[in-house]
Amino acid sequence: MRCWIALRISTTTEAGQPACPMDAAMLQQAAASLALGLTPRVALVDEAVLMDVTASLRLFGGLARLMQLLVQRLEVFLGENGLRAEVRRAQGATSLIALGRLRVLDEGGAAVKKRVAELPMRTLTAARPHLGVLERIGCRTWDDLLRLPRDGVARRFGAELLQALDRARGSAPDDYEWLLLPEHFEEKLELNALVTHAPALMAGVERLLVQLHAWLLGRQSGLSALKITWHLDKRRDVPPTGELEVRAAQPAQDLRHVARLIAEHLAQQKLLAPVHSLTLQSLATELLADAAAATGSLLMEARKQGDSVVELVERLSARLGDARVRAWQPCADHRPELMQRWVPARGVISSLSAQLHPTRPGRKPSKGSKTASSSTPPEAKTEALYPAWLLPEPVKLAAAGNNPVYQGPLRRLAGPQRLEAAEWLLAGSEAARQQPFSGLSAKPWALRDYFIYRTQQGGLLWIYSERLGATPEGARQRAWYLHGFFA
Amino acid sequence: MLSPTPAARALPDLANAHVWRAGELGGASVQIVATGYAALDAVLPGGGWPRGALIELLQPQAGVHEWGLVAPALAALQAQGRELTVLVGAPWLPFGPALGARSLDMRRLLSIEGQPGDAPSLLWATREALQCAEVHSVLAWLPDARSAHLRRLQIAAHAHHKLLFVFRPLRAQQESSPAPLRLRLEGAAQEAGTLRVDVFKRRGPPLAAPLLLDTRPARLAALLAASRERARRQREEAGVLAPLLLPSRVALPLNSPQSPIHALLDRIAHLDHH
Repeated sequence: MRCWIALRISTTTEAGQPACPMDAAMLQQAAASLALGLTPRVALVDEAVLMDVTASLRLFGGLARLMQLLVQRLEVFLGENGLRAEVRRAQGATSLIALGRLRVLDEGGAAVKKRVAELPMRTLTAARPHLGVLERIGCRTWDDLLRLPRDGVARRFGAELLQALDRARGSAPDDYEWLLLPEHFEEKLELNALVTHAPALMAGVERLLVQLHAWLLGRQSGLSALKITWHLDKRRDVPPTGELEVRAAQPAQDLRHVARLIAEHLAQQKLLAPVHSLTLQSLATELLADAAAATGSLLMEARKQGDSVVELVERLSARLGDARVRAWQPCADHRPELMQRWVPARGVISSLSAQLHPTRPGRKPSKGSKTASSSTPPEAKTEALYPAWLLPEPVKLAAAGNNPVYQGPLRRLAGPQRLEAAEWLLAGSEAARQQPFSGLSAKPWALRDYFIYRTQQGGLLWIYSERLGATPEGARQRAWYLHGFFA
Repeated sequence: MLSPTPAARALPDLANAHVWRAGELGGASVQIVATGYAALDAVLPGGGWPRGALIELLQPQAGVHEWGLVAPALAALQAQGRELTVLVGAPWLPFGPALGARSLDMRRLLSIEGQPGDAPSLLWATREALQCAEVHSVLAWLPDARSAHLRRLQIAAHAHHKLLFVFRPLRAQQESSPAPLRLRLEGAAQEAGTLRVDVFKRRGPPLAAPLLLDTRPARLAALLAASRERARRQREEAGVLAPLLLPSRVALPLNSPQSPIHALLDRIAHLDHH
């Protein structure tokens, strides 16, 4: 015996509430996409979504569990996208029985479990053109019609009605054109009004994101890149479209983070002309095997509290720019300014995330082999005699006599600590110039004596003097540079 | 400080954690992180830096005393979990090797740089960092923040249970602040310590006298002590002063196995720089 579910989502608008941003067809399409997460046999018929769940019953643990899961997913989806809608569903042995029961339910009939024979004639789509005649000859229910002779019915009402009845009774194959989701999401939206201010495009983008979300749920995949194109008013002398690409480091099904990223990027956009329509395209998606299980959990521990580091870095970088959000990387060098690099965190987001999750299951093999093949990062050197703050560029200090001055006279506490880098290059500089060691000779030489000075306020400064060669006059007038603060 | 009044003696079973008498130091109702300095722990309510509260540190100049004071607590937090520390608007570049020597894991540090005249985005970034689940502490340098801004940060830190330090200039001491814990930091050049800490707002009576903490790493302190000793000897040999009257007050931390004094003295090139 087969098992069908008929599903219908109707928007509810209450007084004082803004109207639902999606029309009924879009909502129906979204529900069908969600249903595809439970069974591949889903069809959009008339006003309802029909799904054949016969083959999925065992996997999801029976009809009751499956119904519960379906309604729960729909409610989560509607809740996440801020929609208010009512879900009606009915079940039957064939698609038309399920649909007929759903229509009885829609009319306000309480009898969901109404016997098939008692279903009224008007719940059958094929009978709708003939309802008046059927009413007058006393055929009110499906059963009444079945009692009439078949050939007479076929002559009077045509073959379609009989075929529909056979389908409803299960004696003819129950087949539809099954819904298939496109490989790539692309949807265009005509805006209600011309938009001149880029952040105001967000309302339209959000409507498209709801559809994208349903599409992702149906395909059981996560989004990692998308493109938004806006079409500008053609009467202006500007390029006809503008576009924006948004990429996320981790594929995500929950699009709230993506929506915030888009909002940050849109806030920095300037529209050259009014916009009349928007297109949203998915550029890259990734299959998420366990996404349905992850998002479906109602346990508090399973739900993340707050954002992840990846989301934080992406959002900060989107608003402030990549260069202002930085992570630390050690380098193997003896010159203090080259011992470390502060690199844009967006570029090293995977290694940053790997620091926080040392043994993440699943992704380990590919990543481990990659890091092993590439050079392992140099071991971080530690040295207590270095200052905690380093100036990005050494500051040249004025000198008073034999000592530098910084916010008043300074007192020398310790030093000198000598630093000589590339001294061997200095000795053989002629030979080095002839060899193609351009990278090495391009490095600046460092011949410095580092001292620790104390300011009058009690802070310690790290100051070096450049040794200007070994000539006596070079030694007499030293150049002093402030390079760091002990904190 | 206060002797128990008769009324207080009549209610002995008020030893509830939620009751705090203003004359006593605040209770341990909040989760704390040990500061790493016993003297400072003793004067802080609960015995350490509170988590989920704004800690305001005032100092004459940004970037002079921070790391010595907060690094032990940050290192302890980093040792507990695998979360991130976020710096917002740091005055200069934190130098990895030196902070590594204070046992901080630099790879779990994220720095958000400020731009002149862009204070609102730093406040926004601080709040975003506080809301992140994988961040345990935030250090923010907000010289231009006002009381209303700090209140929002305090609420965010409380809601998300984060360790939040905000560094501000000394002039902010006169302004009202929602921070339950406010400290003033000043450098000191004394044998007992290099950082003078005054806890001028806390859940408890005002602090009688500022604390002196020695926040420098042991090796650096030893190097400075050795240099001082050498300079004193040179003066003695030159006979400029008569320092024999004074006993030597230089305490060399000889107990640290990784910092033998002779190694430190070897580092110093014997240049006659006088």
